[in-house]
Amino acid sequence: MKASTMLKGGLYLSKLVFDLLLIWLTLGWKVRKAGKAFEKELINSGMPKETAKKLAKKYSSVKDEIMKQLWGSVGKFRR
Amino acid sequence: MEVKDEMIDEEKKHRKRGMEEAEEVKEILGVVSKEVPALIKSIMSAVFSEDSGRDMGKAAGAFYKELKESGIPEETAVRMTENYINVFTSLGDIMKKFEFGKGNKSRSEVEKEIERTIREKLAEKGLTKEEE
Repeated sequence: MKASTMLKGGLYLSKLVFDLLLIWLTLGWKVRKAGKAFEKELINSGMPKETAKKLAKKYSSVKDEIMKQLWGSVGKFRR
Repeated sequence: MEVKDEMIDEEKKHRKRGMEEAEEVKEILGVVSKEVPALIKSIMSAVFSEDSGRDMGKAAGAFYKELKESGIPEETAVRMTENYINVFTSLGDIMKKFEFGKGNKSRSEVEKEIERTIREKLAEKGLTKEEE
């Protein structure tokens, strides 16, 4: 097996892992921002603050659901 | 002597096949490392960006406002808005549909589809079952 093939394969793999890690790290920040914008719009439409906060929390919980699903899929794949 | 030559030939073939496979894996990794993060990023930004959050908020807010204006009680309006938001955010349910569980019906359908496609392609190339 060529050393350059191994090296390039390794580079691609580490790039993939790095990109996925970066997506995972920035996701929390993006969700918070989206949740805040969502809450603000609800309040603007006349919804009470507490209710808007509760609904925004629900919107943000989608991230946890997605992560749970992904980890579940990874677990199934490993089995 | 002939046996030795055959063994050397076999080893050369084996080595060549290994190199080809490694090249293929490298190419696949090259495509996957580019496409998969881009795909995940675009899906995530469709749901979790400031703009999409604002748009969803606007839609849910307009829905709530209309309900209130048409005289629906506060509690019911909130509950209905919550259900309305669930329609946007039911990504988990969508992902569940794509997941292949144990003995899942959709998996067998996919398997059948793959098998059918392979058979069609083989038939196109003129390969019969005996030749396979």
